[in-house]
Amino acid sequence: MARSRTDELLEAWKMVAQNAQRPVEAPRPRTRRSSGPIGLLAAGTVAVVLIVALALRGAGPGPQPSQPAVGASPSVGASPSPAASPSPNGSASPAASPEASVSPADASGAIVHQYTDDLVKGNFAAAWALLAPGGPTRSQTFAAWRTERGQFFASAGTVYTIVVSPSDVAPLSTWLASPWSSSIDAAHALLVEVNYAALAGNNAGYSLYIVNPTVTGLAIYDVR
Amino acid sequence: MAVTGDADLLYNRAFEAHWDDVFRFSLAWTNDWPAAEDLAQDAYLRLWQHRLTLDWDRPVLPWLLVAARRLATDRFRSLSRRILPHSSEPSFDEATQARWIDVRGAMSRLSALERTALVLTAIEGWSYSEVATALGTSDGALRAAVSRAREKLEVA
Repeated sequence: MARSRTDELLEAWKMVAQNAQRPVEAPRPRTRRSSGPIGLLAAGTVAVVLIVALALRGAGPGPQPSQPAVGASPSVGASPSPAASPSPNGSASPAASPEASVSPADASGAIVHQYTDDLVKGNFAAAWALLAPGGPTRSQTFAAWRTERGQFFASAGTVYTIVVSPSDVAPLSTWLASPWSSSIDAAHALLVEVNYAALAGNNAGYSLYIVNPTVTGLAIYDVR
Repeated sequence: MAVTGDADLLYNRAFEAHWDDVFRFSLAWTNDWPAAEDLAQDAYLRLWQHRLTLDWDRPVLPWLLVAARRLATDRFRSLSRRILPHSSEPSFDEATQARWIDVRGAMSRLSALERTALVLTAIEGWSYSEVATALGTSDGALRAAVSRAREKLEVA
C-alpha cells in the first residue's frame, strides 16, 4: 500500500528534525551589569557621559565618527542642559579637541548612540541614513523598516545602554553574512550592542550592530 | 520551593532530558530552523527564571512547551530577530537540505496550530489531551486541526 503524501512529509520532517543539535550547555541569562550602590555609581557615570554626548551632538554637524566617546550611554529620554556637561574624569572638555582624542571604539559608540537616539525620537529618516546602503537592513524598504522599528521602539522605551565590543556575544566574524560581508573591514569594524532597559531579560531586549569604517565615515550594519 | 543548588541541577537535567522535544515543538510551530532554536532557548531561559519556584515534582516538559508556545505568540517574536547569528543556521548535507526545503514548503500551508498538532500527535506520539494542553486548545479543536492539516498536506 502506497504511503500518503502526508505520511511521506511527516517521515521527511522527522528525518530532518533528527539533525537538531542540542547546545553544549543549558541556556543561562546573559551576564548583566552590577546593581546596588556600584550599579548606581556606574549609572551616574554613564549619565554624565550621555550629557556630554548630547551636548556635543547639538554642536556638531551630524553623524561623523569624530564625535566624542559614548562608551556606555543610556538615553534618559530627556534633554539635559548642555551647560550641565562636565567632562568625565575631570578632563578637559571634549569639545576642545574631539578629533584628537576620539578612539575607534568611542566613535563607534557615538554613531550607534546617535542612530538609537534618532529611533527613540522618531527621526527615522536620519537613522536610516546612518545604515550602510549595502547592509542587511537596507535590503528592505524604508517604509517597512520604519513600521517595524516604530513598533519595536514603542515597546523598547527611551532608556538604553550602549556597549562597544561586548564580551558576552559571539565574535564579529560570526555575524557576517553575504552579500554584504565583503564590505566589512574586519580588522577595524567593531560590534556595538544596545540594551533596552524596558525589555531587559527579553530576547528582543538588545540590538547588535557592526560599525564599519569606510572612506566616507562610519556605517552601521544592523545584524541583530 | 527548590534551593538554588537543587534548582540548578534540576534545570540542567530538564535541559538534557527535554531539549530535543522542545526544539521539535518549536520547529513544528515556527517552521523555521533558526527561529526554533531561538525559541527553544527562550523557553529554557524562562524555565531558568522560574526554577526556584517551580514545582519540580510535576513533569516539566508540558511547562516548557506551554512556555515556548506563549513565547512564540509573543509580539516580539514577530520581529524575527535571533539571539545567535549564523551558527544557528542548519548545516545540512545536500540531500537533507533538499528534503527540508520540500517539507518546509508543504508545512507552510498549515497554520502553526495545525502543524504542531499534526507533528506532536503523528510523530511524537503524544495523546490528543496532552497536545491540547500544550497548545492551549480543546480536544475537539485539536482533532479538527489535525484533520485539516492532513487534508492540506495531501495536496501539498
